[in-house]
Amino acid sequence: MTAREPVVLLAERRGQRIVTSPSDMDELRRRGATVPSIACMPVTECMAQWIDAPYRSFSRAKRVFPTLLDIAMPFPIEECEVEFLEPQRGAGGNVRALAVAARHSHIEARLAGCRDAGFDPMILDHEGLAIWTQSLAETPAASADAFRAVLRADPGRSVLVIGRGRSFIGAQTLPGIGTETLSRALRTRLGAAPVPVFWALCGAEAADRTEAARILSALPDDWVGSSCVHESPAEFAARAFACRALLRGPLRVDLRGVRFRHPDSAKRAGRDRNRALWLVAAAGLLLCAAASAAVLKAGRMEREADATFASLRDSLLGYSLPVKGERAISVVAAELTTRKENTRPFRDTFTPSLVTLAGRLTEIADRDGLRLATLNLSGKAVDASGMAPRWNAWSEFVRQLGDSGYAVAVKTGNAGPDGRIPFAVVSAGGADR
Amino acid sequence: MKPERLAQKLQIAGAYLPLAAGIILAVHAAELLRNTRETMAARAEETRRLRELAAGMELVYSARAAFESLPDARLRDIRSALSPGGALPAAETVRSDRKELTDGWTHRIEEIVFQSIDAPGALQRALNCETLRPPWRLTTLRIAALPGQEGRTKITMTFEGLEKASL
Repeated sequence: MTAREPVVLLAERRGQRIVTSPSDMDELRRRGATVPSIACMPVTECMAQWIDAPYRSFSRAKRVFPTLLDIAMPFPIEECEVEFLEPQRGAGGNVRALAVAARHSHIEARLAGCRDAGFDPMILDHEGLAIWTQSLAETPAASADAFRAVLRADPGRSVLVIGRGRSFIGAQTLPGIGTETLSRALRTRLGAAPVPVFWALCGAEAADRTEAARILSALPDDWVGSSCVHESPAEFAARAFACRALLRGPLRVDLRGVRFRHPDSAKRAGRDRNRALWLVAAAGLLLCAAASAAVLKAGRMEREADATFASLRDSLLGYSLPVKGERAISVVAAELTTRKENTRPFRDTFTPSLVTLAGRLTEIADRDGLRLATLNLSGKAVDASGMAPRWNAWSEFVRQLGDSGYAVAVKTGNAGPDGRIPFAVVSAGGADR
Repeated sequence: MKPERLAQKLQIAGAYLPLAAGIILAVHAAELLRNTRETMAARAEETRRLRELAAGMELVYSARAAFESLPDARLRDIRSALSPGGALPAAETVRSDRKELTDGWTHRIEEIVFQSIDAPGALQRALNCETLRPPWRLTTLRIAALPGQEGRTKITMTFEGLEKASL
């Protein structure tokens, strides 16, 4: 329901779209409480004004907003329903917010009027803000700096809403639509120097082409940029309230506040609060469960790791040893070293045979004409001596020893009268096989 | 305080209590998990080192198992093992040692000297000893050519063997 005209619109949300159909007061009364209704506070009975806090901190600014508003208003704040919308940083970096307020007496009177008309609105919107946001929604701003004036022209009543870009500046009623009246209103809000303004028309009078043309011709020439007439201008305001009630968006407000809260709205708020609390509790319980599960899993993993270690430790030792970590490893290492030493003869059995190597060496000696005087061979060392028929005839003999893992050196003497060369092969550097 | 306000506050407290407990538990769990991760890493490293030690014992166990699987683990007399085909050339035992090991096993050492023998023949006899089950294993060999005796050598052989009196 608009401020004064009994324009009734039935709105339904379909996804992100609002579908409206014209209705009347009879249908509104008939449907009663089954369909939530929305009405508004006219701009004459409520205010919307930007309040600048002298702080950069949002929390400090929020604390002083009521005081600042109290000073700015001609009546005590305690007598009003107040909301501070969209706290934001102003040009100087200080925090500002749009204060929206309506006196309790006006709200009570408005609600009484609605009830007398046969309905109890769930939301009391702010007429100026509703017109502003709906105008932006239907005809988006050309730029962030573009000035806009939305003129709602109804028979006997006109409302002017002014803003810049997406930002609301102010709303007021006009005694009539005339060039001088509009110029004065713009000068009051925007300053003395005229700027190009985008004009958007709505209201019952804008629905009449002749009347719309008259209004457009009355616009002050030095404040005109371009203009438009909103679609279905007569229902524009009602459509605005419906869209704001059904869709999320900026500058939403309910001037019934807490004091005059609609019973259904209170119930819904209670349900929402309970749902939120349940969600918090559920989240907490979930967190408890997850954390407990993590703790249990960590414990199990640790126990499993301990069990694996203990099992391996005990299987290596052959008995159970109730120690962990480095101590267990050193006990196991010592035990295995002893065990290895005790069983060394078993392992040695599987080292390459000395017989095979000795056979190979004597074979090479025979083939290469080496006359071996001595050959001493063990697993760790070797030495041999003899006479060679020529220089380097021992090379294959030495290579075989090297291939078998012995590090050896060759010593030679002068050739004898028969031309044979004495040689000796000894283990070099004490290297083991 | 009004009863409704009190009830509301209690409701809020009731909802936030599990959340607070959950947060405390989560912080505790995070700390515990961090410690567990460190413990697990340490335990994994210790287990890896134990496995390394175990791997070093594989050869020992398999060698031991090979001996344990013998139906008769008694060593043949070394002198008779050295003369499989008949008489043993002039030989003398210069050392005969034995050491008791674990589980009834005995480690034996026999040192034999052939005063005059051809080296290939002696080595063939030694090879025969190494093919026995359980084997005598040649651990040291000293060959010295005999001056003036072509092809004849003095050979000292040390054999080691493992035996078990009865299985």
